[in-house]
Amino acid sequence: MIEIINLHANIEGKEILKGLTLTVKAGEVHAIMGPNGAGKSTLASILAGREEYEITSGEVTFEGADLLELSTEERAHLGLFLAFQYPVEIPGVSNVNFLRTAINEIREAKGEDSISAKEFMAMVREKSKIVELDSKLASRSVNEGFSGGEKKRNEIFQMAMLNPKLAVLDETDSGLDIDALRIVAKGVNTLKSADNASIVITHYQRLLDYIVPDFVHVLHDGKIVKTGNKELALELEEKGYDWIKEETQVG
Amino acid sequence: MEDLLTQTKFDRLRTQLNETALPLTEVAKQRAQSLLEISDFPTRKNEAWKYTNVNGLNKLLLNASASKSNNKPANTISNNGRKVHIINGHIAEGQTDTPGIKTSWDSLPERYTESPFDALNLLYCSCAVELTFDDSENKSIELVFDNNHNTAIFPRLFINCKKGSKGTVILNFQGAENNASFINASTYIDVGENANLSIHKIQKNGNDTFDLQREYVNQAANSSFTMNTFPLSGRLTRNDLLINVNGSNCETFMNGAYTLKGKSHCDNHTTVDHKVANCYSKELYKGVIDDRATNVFNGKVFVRKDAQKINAFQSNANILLSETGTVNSKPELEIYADDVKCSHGSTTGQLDDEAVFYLRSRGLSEKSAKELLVKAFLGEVLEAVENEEVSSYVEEQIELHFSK
Repeated sequence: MIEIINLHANIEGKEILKGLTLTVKAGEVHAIMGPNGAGKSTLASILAGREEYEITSGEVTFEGADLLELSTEERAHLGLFLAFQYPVEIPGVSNVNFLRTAINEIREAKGEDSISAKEFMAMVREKSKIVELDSKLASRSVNEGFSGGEKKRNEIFQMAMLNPKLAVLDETDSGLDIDALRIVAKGVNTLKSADNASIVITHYQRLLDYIVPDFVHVLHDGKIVKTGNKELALELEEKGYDWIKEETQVG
Repeated sequence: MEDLLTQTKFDRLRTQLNETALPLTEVAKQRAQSLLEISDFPTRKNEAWKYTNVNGLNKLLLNASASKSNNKPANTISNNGRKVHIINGHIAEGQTDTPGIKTSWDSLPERYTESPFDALNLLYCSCAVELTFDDSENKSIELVFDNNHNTAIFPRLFINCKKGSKGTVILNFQGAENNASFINASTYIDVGENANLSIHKIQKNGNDTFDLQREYVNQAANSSFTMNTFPLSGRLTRNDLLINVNGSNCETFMNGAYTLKGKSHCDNHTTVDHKVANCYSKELYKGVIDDRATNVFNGKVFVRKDAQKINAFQSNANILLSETGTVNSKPELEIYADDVKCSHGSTTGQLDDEAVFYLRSRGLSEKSAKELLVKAFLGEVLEAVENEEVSSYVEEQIELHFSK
């Protein structure tokens, strides 16, 4: 699915990623944890194609393509999806309208016919149920006036509509109460299949009670310093990140 | 030699123009002549023309014998309602007067306004049309100006919405893509007591066309007046909208949306003069500016002494799509009464990069992401347009603007 090899990246001359390597296969859920400033959100931003980062070395192969050579929209066409940590409010642009445009542009890129209005509306009804998103919210302006929980549910709703190969969830749990967290996690679990994969970026273990990862990676100082199973997340919850930092320094 | 030294830019322009065939009174003619004799083109020293330079008018090559017939059908916006077809500034052959529409004249209504461009309009007037609404049925009349020849188009329009009547007028200026005409329109509008008039003006001019228009509006008590202005293309567009609110309990709405690119220059000057108490006015102008285009907005609101309980709101918002576009926006309030509620605001910014990135991350191309955001931005103005044929036409034009 995706292979990241020895990725180095800077922003404004400061090196954030210092040789990150990660392979995700279809059907897998990977959690990336780590202290603030470790480079978690930088990784998400680079995968989605934010232009303010400078890649100094490394490779990223996604579905056989050189990801770093592709524009943001081309990555989406290939099946990459980023659930934003801070979803943007876009007044005047209706949620469903823009999703229909997005689906059609993705279909066009694949050489497929555009979606009919009927098919699309049926899909909206079906997918909005997954995240218990009121259909009124689905047709309102993108995220405008949405609560924190509604914004994150809307991210998962969009993910359901676009049906990506690889979803990157950037701190989707931040700012969520326990009920919203459960709904979001249920959405992600419902969408899980043998053909797709997700990278769940989080600071806290609590989301991983609901989205059970196959692998847990600890990102520290721009590199993955430890990889384990879900037990590692529990250990981190209990002991914090300091022992990882110390272990890394000793190593 | 002496002639050249004393020749004004108006004099030079006039050598290219044909005197009007319409019956002018000697008095009106003299008054216009003398105003033109003491006038020259406005310069930057003139506050109202600080950012708009019309010297390019004298570089136009205006063909005096433009065709009055057109085998192509008019590009109309409305499906129903009456239409007047004006080809290259002249009333199309076969147009006859009907109740409410007058295009043939024994003597023109006398209207004098101080602008030398109005004097020019009178002396070289290519067509005069009077529209009258005298019942409450809300009839619609569309004036279609088809401009496919490089020529002088000088319409003189009179719109009367009589006491208790309702009316809708569409002023639809359509220029061929590379048309290089000079449009110079003077429009006199009277809104009677308890009357309700809406005017929609589309300026889809050729890329080299200069379009200078002035509208003088008088509103009587308890009336409602709406002016929607859509400068969509053209080399230079200047609109002067002056509304005198002479009676109390009036409503006045001014909406504008513009899409500028290339070297287009667009200037909207509006004035609403609240002379009496208990009135409401609301103005919203929004536009996008691309390439090396320039937009000028100047909105004046006067609230005269004793005109209490006035609610006047004004807003101008611009989005620059390029680094080389320019916006000069100046809202002005002059308030001489003490119990009023007025606000004005002006913003100029760029499209929100975060929003563009968000939409692209969902699969939209950069172009469609920007188009969607621009349509949402201008959508606020279009929502205020009650006539759906007009709003959907303008929406289509915004899409076309992006597809080229």
